[in-house]
This record gives sequence, C-alpha cells and structure tokens, in this order.
Amino acid sequence: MPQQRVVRSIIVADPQGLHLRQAAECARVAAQFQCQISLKYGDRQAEDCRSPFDILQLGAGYGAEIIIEAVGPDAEQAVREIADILTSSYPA
Amino acid sequence: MRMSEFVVREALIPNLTQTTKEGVIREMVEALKRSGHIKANQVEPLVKALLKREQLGSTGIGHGVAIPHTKHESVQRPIGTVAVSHAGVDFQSIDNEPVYIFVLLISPVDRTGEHLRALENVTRNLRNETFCRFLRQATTAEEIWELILESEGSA
Repeated sequence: MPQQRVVRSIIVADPQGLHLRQAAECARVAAQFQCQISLKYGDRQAEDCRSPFDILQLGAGYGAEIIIEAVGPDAEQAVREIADILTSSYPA
Repeated sequence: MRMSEFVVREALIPNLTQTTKEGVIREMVEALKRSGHIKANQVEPLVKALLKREQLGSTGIGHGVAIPHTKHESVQRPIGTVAVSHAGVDFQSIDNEPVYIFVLLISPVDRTGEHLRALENVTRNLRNETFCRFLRQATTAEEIWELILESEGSA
C-alpha cells in the first residue's frame, strides 16, 4: 500500500469540548492504524493521537478548529474515523 | 486551573485500601466528605454519577492512571483528590493495565471550560513519567501534596 499524507480540518461539535471520552476513543481507534496521526489546535499539538494524555493537552473547547494529519499507508481511513469522533457529541 | 487549585489537600489518599472500581471511587468520595467538601447526603449520588460515567467508557487512560470525573450540582467549584494504590486496581483501562494513580474530579454542571482546563493540567502532570513514579512511591499525604506543588513550580 502506498504512503499517504492526509490532512483535514474539523470543528469540535461537542458543547462540552474535546473531553476525556473522545480523547480515549481517539486513542483507541488510532492504535488500530499503522499510520502516524497527529492533532493540532492553534499552536498546540498532540503529536501522537494514540495518547489520550497528548490529546487532552490541546484544551480544545466547543467550536475549536482542529487539524488532523495522518501519514502512512492507511491515512485516509484513519483521518475519516478520527474526524467522526471529534465531530460527534459524547455524554461527558 | 492547576491541580493544587482543585485538589483538596485534606482528602489525599496515599494508600488506598479498596481494590475494585466502585470501592476506590467510594473511598475517594468519602475522603472528600470527611474533609468537609461534600455533604454526607451527596456521597451516594456522587458515587452513582461517577460509576455511570465509567460505564460509558473507563477513565483509565493508560500508564497506570485513571481520572474518574463527573459534573454535579452538589459542588460550587471544581474539587477533587488524588489517591495512590500500591497494589494496583483493575479499572478496565484502555491499555488493560492496572491503575496505581487516581485523580478524582467533580465539576459544577455549568463550568465546562474550567473542567477542560482542569483535565488539561492533570494530564500534563500525569504524562510526566518522573511525576508518576514519585507519586507511586509516596507513602504520606504530605509527599503527594509536595509533588503536586513541585510539578506546578516547574511547569
């Protein structure tokens, strides 16, 4: 499978912001992919989406714009799944 | 919001006696009650709310760390405590490893921003391996408190 680099911007849709539940879910999903996935919010970056610790460091509230970047053979699918999580509302 | 701003010093637990998810959560809420930060009649509703949140997905986020949390009308500002289990607790964490360090956080219902900032600061401290190693070695509440202050001083 060829290497891909996929970048996508999303807006945090959960009124409670990007909280622990999405962070844990992103980490769980990211661990299933071969590609390296990072998240960026303003000047903050979660270099490894497999770490809920990194993701929560973003401090992204409702309406925050997050850039998802994935590099690897399965990047496209990974970005799609991470974007789905970040644009969904989860009970906190 | 820094850890020292919401963690109740008088409710720190350097050596958890409970070894189950419900037991640990209850022991931590009871400690907050004893410190006078939670009314006796709020213990049960809080334990229930925290366990309900756990059912949605464990707050055990790996590396031996869990952050049980909820938003609840019984508090006027974010409060919480830190507890250490030397034996380790099966918390159904995302990495399936036992949990040794617990940070409990209860936030007012309407303070989403503060809640997120508290989580942000807790995870900043807890992703530091040295901080976690020393925390796991702590045997007194005073040691835990000193570690929290120290980590903020170097932030």
